Order: sequence, then structure tokens, then C-alpha cells
Amino acid sequence: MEYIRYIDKTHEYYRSLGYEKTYNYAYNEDIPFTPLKKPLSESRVALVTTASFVLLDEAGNPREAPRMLGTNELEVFTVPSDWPAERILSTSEDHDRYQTDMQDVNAFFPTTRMQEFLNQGVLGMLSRNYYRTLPNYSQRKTTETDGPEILRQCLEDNVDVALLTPV
Amino acid sequence: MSLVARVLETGGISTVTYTNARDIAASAGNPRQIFLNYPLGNPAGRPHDPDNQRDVLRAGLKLLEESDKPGSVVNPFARDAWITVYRIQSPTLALTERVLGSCLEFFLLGLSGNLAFFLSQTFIR
Repeated sequence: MEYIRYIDKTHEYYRSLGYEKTYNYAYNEDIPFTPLKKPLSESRVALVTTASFVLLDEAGNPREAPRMLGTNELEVFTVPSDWPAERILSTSEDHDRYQTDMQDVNAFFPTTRMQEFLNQGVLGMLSRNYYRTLPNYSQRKTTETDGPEILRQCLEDNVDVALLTPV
Repeated sequence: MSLVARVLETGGISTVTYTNARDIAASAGNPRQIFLNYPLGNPAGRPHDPDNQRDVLRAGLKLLEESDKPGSVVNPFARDAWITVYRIQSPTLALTERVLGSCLEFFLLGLSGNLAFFLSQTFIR
């Protein structure tokens, strides 16, 4: 099956700009694995994304300023899992606007779909919060700072399963 | 994001990652990947297509239930051709829009110039 090799493409791009050293994508041979412990209909499920968006208050005003790219500070933001999709505003300008549409957050943050699956009993429970972190060039920061903070909050909330949507 | 998945799995939480960039997630050692061959930014399905989004979500849940080894990659819509459209049409669309935009701009400038001339001629008399 044909699909885009983004690693090759970005390497090509860096080289075309005259850089000799390309971005070092994460590479791991070993893969950690936790099998499902109980049926999904009894599991507590969280959603984690790297999408850039802000939450809107009831009047439709952003509750915070949009933040697009990662820094060295801890960057884990929470979204209440019952927050309505209509009050989530995508702030990303990075995507191909001819092909995709930032109006429907469920294409990258399927919160309405998860609510449906909860109501149908497919999922046992939703976590109290969903999580958002920012894409970061520093793999160390993701592995040693933001990742562990998401894990800490998930464990505190008794999360069994996490669905992840990188954009 | 795959690095976050790894931290969560190490801490005892099962994960599935919905991706549009198969190679990046696989290289990072992602535990379970649902790959959608869609443009970046649509890891949970097509916009404004709730049925497709439900199928996508379900595919990930199925993978969670069935996978017994790390590193599996599943493409539930192998015949979905959205990415083909993306690759062929996108630059063409961009070019078409630019050309049409220039024509329109030129036309409007010409029109406003003519209108100004017409008005000046009319009212000067």
C-alpha cells in the first residue's frame, strides 16, 4: 500500500534548505506493552492529543491564549471529558486547508464519538479529564516531563486505557 | 505522541494511537497503531463524517482487544483513497485558485478604473 514517508520527506526538505544534519526522529527497537486488563465496557478511558485548540466559555470567548509549539516548561493541559465539542476551537494553521477542515474537532479529537460509545455501553467510563500536550522537538522533554505528567494524572484518575490522537 | 504512548504503557495503561504518519509512529516504537492514510490532522477520521469517525474509533478498540504483541499496525481503510486525492489535487487546486484570484483582481481593478472614469465623465458634464 502506498503512503507518504514523512521521515524521508522531512529529511529531503532539510537537505534542500542546506542543512547537513537532519531531524533525528525517535527510533526504538523495544516496545513497551500493557495488555488490556478488563473488557472495554468496564474500562475507564482517556483521550490524549497534540492538537492545538482552546476551550471557549459559554459566551464563546477563549478561556486561554492559544499556544502552538512546545517550550521547555511542563505542558500538559486538561479538558473536562464532558466538554462539548462545539466549545472547542482549533487554532492550528498548519494543515492543508484544501483537504481538511478544522471546524469538526471530532476528526482529530473524537470527544463526541467517545460520549456516544459511553452512552452505548461500549466504554465503561470516561476519565475525568482528557489531556493535551504540545508537539515538541525535544524527545527528552516528552519522555521525561510531559509524558510522565500525563501518566501521573491518568493513574490518579484510575485510567485503564488511553486513546491517542497526534495531529 | 508515540513517546507518550510508551510512557503510559510502561506505567500500566493500554494505549492505541490513531495516526496519519505511519512511519514516524512505527520508528518511535508505538505499541498499537491504527493508521489512516489521510492527510495530517485527521487521525480520528474524516471531518463531518460521523459514521467514518465511529468506524475509526471502533477499529482502535478492536485492536486493543485483539493485539497480543507490541508494535502492531492496522489500516482499517486500506482502500480509502483520500490521500491520493490529496497528493494529486492539492497543488493543482492551489495553482488554480491563485490564477483565478489574479484574474479576478485584475478584472475588478479594471472595472473600478472604468467606473471611476465613467463617473468622472458623467458628472463633469
